[in-house]
Amino acid sequence: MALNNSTTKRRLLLAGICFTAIGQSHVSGAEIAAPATDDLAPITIVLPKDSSQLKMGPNVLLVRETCTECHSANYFTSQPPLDRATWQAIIQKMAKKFEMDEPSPKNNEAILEYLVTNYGQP
Amino acid sequence: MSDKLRPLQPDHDRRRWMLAVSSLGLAGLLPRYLLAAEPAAGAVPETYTHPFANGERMLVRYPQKRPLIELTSSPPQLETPFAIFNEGLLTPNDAFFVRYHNAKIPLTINPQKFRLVVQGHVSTPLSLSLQEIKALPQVEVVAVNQCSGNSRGFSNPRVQGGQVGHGAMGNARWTGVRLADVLNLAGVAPGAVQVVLNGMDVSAKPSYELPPDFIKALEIEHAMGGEVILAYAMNGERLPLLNGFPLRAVVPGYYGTYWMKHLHEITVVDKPFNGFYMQTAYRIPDTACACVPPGTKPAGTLPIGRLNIRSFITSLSENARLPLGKPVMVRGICFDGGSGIKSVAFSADGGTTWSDAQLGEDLGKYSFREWRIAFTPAKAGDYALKARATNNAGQTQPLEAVWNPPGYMRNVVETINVTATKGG
Repeated sequence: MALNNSTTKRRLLLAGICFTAIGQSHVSGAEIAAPATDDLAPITIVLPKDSSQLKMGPNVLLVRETCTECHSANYFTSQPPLDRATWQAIIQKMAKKFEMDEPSPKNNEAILEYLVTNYGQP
Repeated sequence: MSDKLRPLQPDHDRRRWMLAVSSLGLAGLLPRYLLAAEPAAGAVPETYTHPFANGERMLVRYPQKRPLIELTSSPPQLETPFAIFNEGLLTPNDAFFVRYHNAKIPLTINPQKFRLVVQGHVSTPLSLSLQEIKALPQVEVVAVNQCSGNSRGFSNPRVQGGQVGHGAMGNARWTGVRLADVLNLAGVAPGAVQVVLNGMDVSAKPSYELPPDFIKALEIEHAMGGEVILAYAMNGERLPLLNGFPLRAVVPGYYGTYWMKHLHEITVVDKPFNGFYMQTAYRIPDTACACVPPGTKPAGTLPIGRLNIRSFITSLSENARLPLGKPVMVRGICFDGGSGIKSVAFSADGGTTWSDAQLGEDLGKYSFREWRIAFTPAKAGDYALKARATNNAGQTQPLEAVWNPPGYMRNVVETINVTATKGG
């Protein structure tokens, strides 16, 4: 059982609306481009919908809230199975170096438990 | 930095405009030059499975791209399906890999408003339009852009980081101007030590103190040496947005981390730049092999630099079946950090015996080089095929993989296992 995830909700919402409006498939990004002959023509692109899927389990919503504000969930769902210490170090790195709001000790433990259970070493 | 330099963020005004266009059903009123991409071939996404644990990926079509292996969605990281490397020495623009670090990437770019700022330790700070840049002498180079962590998924033991196979690399003909010419326009002041490159992408919360914006530095001698170019075209077309439109750094022979995309700010500095992506990330063990015993930490590190030598078999995939007794042309690619390829040896018996392959067209010392050799499986059974390149500096590929904590610079001799059977 998997839960669709998004990075920034706004972007997803926007992308969804744009795709609806211009009839794009859900696996495809929209491209709004000028003819290639004009080097100075502006370009706008719309990124495809985030395809990340998070495994269902306790605290999945907390993980999504905390860990996908800046990047999509496939940043961590694509990792090899990592041990508890490595996942904890990653949480710390995100808080100390990468702008994540530092979770409370209770939330930290809940996030860690989710990651170890679902994406940890057996 | 003026607001003019930041017209390209996915800002709220742009969103509101797009929302208005979409929600009011005004898409039909978009100016005539606006085009939509072709829909994807099928509604059901295809997948691509790397031969390592948790290696299943979606093939997703991004703007100006064919379906590529999606590592991450936001910011996008896309990998080239390996079979494409057998189709030609130049990687097509729509198949070229994509790698971003910052959450907010530019989604709208108006080249007419684009300005490249050259500032810092220079006599004349500049703000150059694309037309002004293109007025400088035009130069061209065919060069491999390879991610530092290309093939990281094969690290053993596994390491954290982007879990890519061998597809975070590509070879293109880059057209642009010399970084040295741009710096000379500004006049580098005495005492300059590095040239700092910044692109339009910004971190998720740019107001924070901490954010490690993706910024890289080149040593001044390197920047002024004439080989680093600021490219506005790739394989004869303007850069795809996701490959750095409208201007990117091309640093031949060096890992992709230095090839700044959406380059809009060059700062000459008189003290070494110590940003996160120089000081903490993209560092390798300071040992001769850039490696340490698996599972250990290096005593010292230094910034990653030149590509090491690699080769691949591209014409046969793992578990291919070959017809017994019939010659088959085995082909592949090889490259290094700029010494140029001297030879490629091929083995069909797991490395016990080797034969020299024939080298193909030479597109320059920074390009992929083709190699090929005829191979006839004389007996039925399994064959472990290997290719091993040697460059003009005498460097070659290790037969056993070495290891470092970030999973950088893999260049072990790879193996393709095939089976020869009667009739194939």
